[in-house]
Order: sequence, then C-alpha cells, then structure tokens
Amino acid sequence: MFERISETRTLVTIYVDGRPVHARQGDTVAAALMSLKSPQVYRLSQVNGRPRAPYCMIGHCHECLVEIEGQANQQGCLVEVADGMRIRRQLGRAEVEI
Amino acid sequence: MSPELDLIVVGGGAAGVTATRRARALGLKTLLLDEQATPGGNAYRNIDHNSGSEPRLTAALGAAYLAGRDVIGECSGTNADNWSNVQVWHLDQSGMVGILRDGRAEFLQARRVLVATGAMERPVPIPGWTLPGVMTVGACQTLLKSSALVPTAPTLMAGRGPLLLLTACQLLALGVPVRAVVMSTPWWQYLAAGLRELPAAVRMSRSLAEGLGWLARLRRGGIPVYDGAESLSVIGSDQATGLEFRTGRRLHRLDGNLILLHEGIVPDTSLTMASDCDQEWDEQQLCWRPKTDPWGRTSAATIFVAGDGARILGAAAAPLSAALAALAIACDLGRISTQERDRRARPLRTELARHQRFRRFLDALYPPPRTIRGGIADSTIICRCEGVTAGDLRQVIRLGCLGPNQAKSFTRCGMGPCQGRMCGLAVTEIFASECNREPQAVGYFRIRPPVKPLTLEQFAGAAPMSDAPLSRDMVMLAANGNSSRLMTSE
Ligand SMILES: Cc1cc2nc3c(=O)[nH]c(=O)nc-3n(C[C@H](O)[C@@H](O)[C@H](O)COP(=O)(O)OP(=O)(O)OC[C@H]3O[C@@H](n4cnc5c(N)ncnc54)[C@H](O)[C@@H]3O)c2cc1C
Ligand code: FES
Repeated sequence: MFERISETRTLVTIYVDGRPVHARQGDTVAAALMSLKSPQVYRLSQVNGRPRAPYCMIGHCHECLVEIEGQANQQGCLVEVADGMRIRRQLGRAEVEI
Repeated sequence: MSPELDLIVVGGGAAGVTATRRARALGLKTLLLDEQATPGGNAYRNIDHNSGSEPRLTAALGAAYLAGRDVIGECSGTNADNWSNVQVWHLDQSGMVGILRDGRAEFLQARRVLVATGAMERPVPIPGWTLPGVMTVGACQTLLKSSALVPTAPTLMAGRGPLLLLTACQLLALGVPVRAVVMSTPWWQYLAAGLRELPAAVRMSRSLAEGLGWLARLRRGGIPVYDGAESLSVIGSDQATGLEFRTGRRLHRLDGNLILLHEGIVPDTSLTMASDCDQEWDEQQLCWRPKTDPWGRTSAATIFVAGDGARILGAAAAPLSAALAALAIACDLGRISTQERDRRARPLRTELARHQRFRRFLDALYPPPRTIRGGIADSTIICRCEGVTAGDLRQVIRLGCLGPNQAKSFTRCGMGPCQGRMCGLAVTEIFASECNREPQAVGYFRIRPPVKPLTLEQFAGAAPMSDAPLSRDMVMLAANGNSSRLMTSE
C-alpha cells in the first residue's frame, strides 16, 4: 500500500515469520511491514480474529502489536528495525498462514 | 547516571527540546527522554536525516518543517544527557519516572518533571474505522517523514483541520495526488470564522496565507474537495474499499483502499492522568487538558507540562510554553529570582498571546466534531481493542452504570492495550449525552501505570533509584501482573 520515494538509507534484512525481506535503516517495524507487498495482513485481532493494521503510527492505538525477537505485544510503530531482526505477526487465535 | 537530577523532560519535540536547552542554560542538570530514535517530535520528525539527505522530501514537507532544524539544533542524537528510544511508562508526584530502555525497566528520580509528550489525533469512531486500509492522516505523514513512504493505493482523505490539508499538499508536491479530500466542515465556516476572528488572523498573516494557500493548491492540482460532509462511513469487509458520506441530501460513494482520517488533535494526557494531576474538560475543543498555572505547573508542584500536551497551540508556540516552564523550574530550584523569572517571561508571554489569538481563529475555522456526543450509531465500534460498540455502552448506561470506570468493568470498553486512548473521549461524551451531564462531571477512565506495555519480567527487574516508597498502584501492578501477557492497568 506504500512505496519508497528515496533509497538513501542503508538496506537491512529482517525476517518476517521466518521469511527474509528488505527494510531500510531508520524504519520502524510497522513501517517496514507496510512497505511490503506481502504479507498483506498485519495482524489478526486476539478478540475477534478480524484483520487489523497500524492506525496512528505514533504509539497510541496499539494496533501495531507484533512479536519482536521472541517478545510478544511490542509496538511495531515505535521499535526500529535492525539487521537480522526476527519478527512474527500475531495472528489472533487463528494461527494460520495468510 | 547520577540520581541528582534537577529535571527530567519527557518528550523530545519542539517543546521538550526547547525546555531542555533553556533549563541547561539556567544551570539545571537535565535529562531528556524520548521514545523515538531521533528528536523532533511530530512536527519535526526525522528532521536531522531529511534536511541533510532528502532534499526532495524536505522541499515537499515545506519551510515550516525545515524551520525545525533550528528548533531541535544541538539536541540531535543520543548521548549521556539525551536518551532516545526510551519509553516513559510511569510518573508520580514524587518525581519518580519509570522508563523502559533496551528492553529493561528502571526508575529515575528528579526534583522536577516536565511532560512534553505532545498531542494525538482525535479518535472519532465511524463505521468501518477498524478496517485495514484506514489510518490517520498523521500516520501517513509519519510514514512519509520517517521512512520516505508514500501511498500507492487509491487514497481518500476525510475530516477536518490544518494537518489534513497540509499533508494533502505535501503528498501532492511529491506527485502523489490523493483521489479526493472530504472536509467535514461546511464552507460557510470559513466565512463565519474569518469575520469573527479575522483581526487576530491578519496579525499572523503568514500563517493565514499558508492556510488559504493549501485549499487553492489542492484545487489547482485537480483534487476534488468536498465540503460539509456528514455521516462518514468506511466501506469494506476485510479491507477498506471506499468511503460513503452525505453532503446535504446527496449521498456520495467514493472508491479507495487507503482512507486517511483526521479530526484535529488533542493533548496526550496519559502521563499527567497517571500521576493524578487535575484535568479540566475543554468544552471549546472537546478534550481534556491538565489544569495548570501560567507557568505550566500542574496541580502537582513537581510536575509541569508544555507544548501541545498542555494545550493545542501548534509547533511554533510549543517552544514558548516550554521556555516559560524552564524559567519557573529554575526559580523553584533557586537558580534565578522571581524578579528575574518574571522579567525574562515578559517577551515570551507577549509572543504566546499572539499565538493564542491565532489559535482562536483556527479553532473557529475547524471546530471539533459535535457529533461524538450524541451522533455515534449504536453499531459503531468505539473501543477498537475490545470491539465494544456505542450501543453496548449505551445499554449499560441505561441499566444505571455510573461512569466510565464502571462501564469499563461491565463492557471491557477501555480495558485493552491502548488503555482507553482510542475510546476515552467518546466514552465521556456518550455518558454526557445519555445522562445529560457535563463531561467534567462524567470524568474519565482512571489511568494507572504502566501507561505503556510492560511485562512482569521487565517490571521485576526495575530497581527504584530513590527512597520514595512505591505507590499503591505500583504495588498492585506488581501483584496483578501476569508475566506471559501484556500488562495493562487492569
Ligand atoms: C501525528 C501528528 C503529526 C503532526 N504533524 C505536524 C506537522 O507536520 N506540522 C505541524 O506544525 N504540526 C504537526 N502536528 C502538531 C504537533 O502537535 C505540533 O504542534 C508539535 O509537534 C507539538 O510539539 P510538542 O513538543 O508539544 O510535541 P511533539 O512534537 O508531539 O513531541 C512529543 C514527543 O514526546 C514523545 N513521547 C510521547 N509520549 C512519550 C512517552 N510516554 N515516553 C517517551 N516519549 C514520549 C514523542 O515520541 C514525541 O517525540 C502533528 C501532530 C500529530 C499528532
Ligand atoms: S500504530 Fe498506533 S500504536 Fe503503533
């Protein structure tokens, strides 16, 4: 849904559900995920299993929760990516590939 | 890190950075904390990198953005006295500040704390606002400033306020025209506001010209602008596919996969609420703000607020309220006399008054939505985290529920990870309308630390750096925590 208009910052590789993808240094985890064509689903709600995506990008709504380096429920919009970082999407109660 | 801190400043935006610089110049040992990687706050986000390496982006963001370079200045970068990537999750009136740094929780202590945490966009629940593809205008602008990302999906912008028009123009300048701008303010608002508050606005003619310029630029850019839109609703089942709204008796339906909403901004009161600072309801702006004296001191003698977190006055005014707070704190701690404080404050107050008058013009131009009080449909989700609808809330109110805190335990509204940040204002207003009470009398959720997600492991590792006894909340927090789950205030 978003694309990059500048390539000045260093490329890093992050792992999303085990799959290596590119991000740029200085990206937050949420920004990096939103710059990807796939996966399309950011997370599924733990309450009702519905798809949800980052809403505010500045730390208020908590719609961007992801697992980062094994730690669940991290605010993706506040954590910066690092080379080799492992990220898992939180797919609500339905632990299926989407 | 010495425990002998005079001042901790929370928030490295225009307000926090200015207060830090002024306080240090007055001889106060000051620590600046911000949860972002670089200082700048919302207006000047990523100013260092962008002004240095992204000329095209910086040009599109505009001259007001570039001005942030001088405001942020030497506070750039993280060092011994300016800590970035640090989240503040606790504040109390003894001056104890709970922080999360490198995944570890710890406590710091200072004689005074300045909360400069800025604003957030006013959450306005509409049908479909929880769908992927819906985000705030500010979120889109944040992606632009911090990651040079622009929308590729067909984009619609809806709501009101200067930030909406500014962002639409910034995207246009980058060759990314949005499909339509849907304003929920009627066109005659401009006329009415203009006539009433014009004298003040003329004195700030640069800002006035800028504001009028945005609309003209969008129209010149061929972007359809709708005025006076009502009954906004997002269409889609698993992803937004469009926006529906009425103008007068006409129903419109526009296609789009990215819907950017914005209904103005309100102070972020989470830390001043968590530390039990008195709050007052601003009926003009339909939001809470901490009660302060003219220096930004809250009801707690040790806690000050400045910038948009105290009251929305904009980026250019934030350094002024921050400088006033720094003077008062320096005077409190014996660095300057009251005469010196008052002398130095005078020009700041004159300048601040100009901004206040201009803000009255902006407020008249973009009054906050009055529809929250009675106009949210029963089926609309108000609590995004727990999926609670306006109808669920109204039902418990009719059954005699006494206020927001009781409603929270009955419906789980406000109990999720965002701790009511997204639904809190709507809950207060719905109570006010259902019970025919003033919002001030209705009150707000009781906000308890931690105001940011924290695990019990992280909490258990925190060692208070002071002798200050843990508050009751903190003890309860430790007792209630569940290590495998996200910890919130409940
Ligand atoms: C999304 C958004 C975009 C905006 N864009 C513009 C714009 O382009 N131009 C403009 O003129 N105005 C903009 N504004 C208005 C904004 O409020 C400015 O007036 C200005 O940034 C206010 O300065 P400030 O220092 O008060 O707060 P901010 O600049 O918002 O700075 C607050 C800082 O506090 C930090 N913070 C908050 N909570 C915590 C915590 N618990 N722990 C640690 N750090 C914390 C934040 O990371 C942030 O850096 C925007 C507002 C928002 C919400
Ligand atoms: S997107 Fe709102 S908190 Fe991260």
